[in-house]
Amino acid sequence: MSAHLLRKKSKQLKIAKWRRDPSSIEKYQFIYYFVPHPKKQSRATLLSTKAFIIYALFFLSVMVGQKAFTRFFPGVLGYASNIKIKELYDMTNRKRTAVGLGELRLNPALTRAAEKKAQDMFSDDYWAHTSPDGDEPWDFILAEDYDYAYAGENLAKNFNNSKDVVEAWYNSPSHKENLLNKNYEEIGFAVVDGVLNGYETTVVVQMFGKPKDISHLATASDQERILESAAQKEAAHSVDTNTEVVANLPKPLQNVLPQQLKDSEPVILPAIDVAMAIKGIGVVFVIYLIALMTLDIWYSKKHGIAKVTGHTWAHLMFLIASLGMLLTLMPGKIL
Amino acid sequence: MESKKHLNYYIILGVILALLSYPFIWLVHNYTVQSIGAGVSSLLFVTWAIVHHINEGRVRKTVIGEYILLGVVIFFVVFAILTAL
Repeated sequence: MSAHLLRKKSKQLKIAKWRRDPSSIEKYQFIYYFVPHPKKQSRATLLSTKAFIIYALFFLSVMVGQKAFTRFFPGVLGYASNIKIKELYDMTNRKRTAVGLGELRLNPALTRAAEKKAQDMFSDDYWAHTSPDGDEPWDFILAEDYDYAYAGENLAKNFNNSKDVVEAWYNSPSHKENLLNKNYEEIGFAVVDGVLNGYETTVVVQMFGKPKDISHLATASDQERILESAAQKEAAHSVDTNTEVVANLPKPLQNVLPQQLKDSEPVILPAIDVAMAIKGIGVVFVIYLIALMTLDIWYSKKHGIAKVTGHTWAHLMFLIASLGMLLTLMPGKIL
Repeated sequence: MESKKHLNYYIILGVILALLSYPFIWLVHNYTVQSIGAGVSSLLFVTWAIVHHINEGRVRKTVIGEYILLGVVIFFVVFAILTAL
């Protein structure tokens, strides 16, 4: 028999074999990665013990890798943000007036103290009320010749927007105490971006105070100047950020988008928004596990596969609850 | 009767998971409490599984191992996100 005829015969035998015995086509099928194996009576390969060990190692490496990445490439990972002083100021006063307290007025000395505190945190790379040199928030306030009777400080970082900042402070008892303190008359804000602990982020400093001598209270025109100056800085930053964003767009889009970008809000855009990236990976992963578990339940019932495993319904309940928990996680830390 | 007992276990699991969702809904930026909540969720899930399977007379290393691994993986997912926030 010629070699050609032998090959043809062998191929026909193989085809005949798999038609008689479906399990022989297993090596050509990747289906058992996703559904339970009827003969082995086990879960899908992607839900096996080995698979879970790989998943655990993957997320462990994400945790460790993220920290290591910021050490070698500081400022690449960060948090997108769009925070404005006027919004913070208005929302703070709304919280106060809602409980019958008077509005706070923006004070230039408190504003400068907040700015200096924010710059100090970036230059010495710390996230705390007291600097590594031992400077307390009151030292920054006194350095601006604000002789206070009462003073306080709230800090925030990694937030996306002004509303979340104020809500986070409001929902924390100690920070709420500052927001709704009847002894305070004035306030100062700083919204500064930079690289803190390896991450590109925006730090918000909120300083409260009441001067010992009430004749030193800020005037309405002081407040207007502060708001005007803040608006100008934010607009200038918006042009810088948007110019950079436009320059990085492909040529055909550059003519279409610039006006929309110019009209849009100023946004701090790191190279990689780490919070959203890792949250996205986590959410997709849990949805993927839910899909596999659901497929497991359906396929096992359809083909009458009795597996010696844990209760898939219990796993599904746990995964759905976990998905809910993951979706509530939001970036932003307060101090 | 058997299926009613089975259902009771699932109701208990549902209540545990609902209670442990509290720190995630009401303490949104309190990452320490949320990390502890995630750890406790995984631990209680595994504990529930062990108790349930003992009562069913179906305790096997592979079965319990599956619950432990799932609990650990989900804890790592939540913790990885919390460290990034």
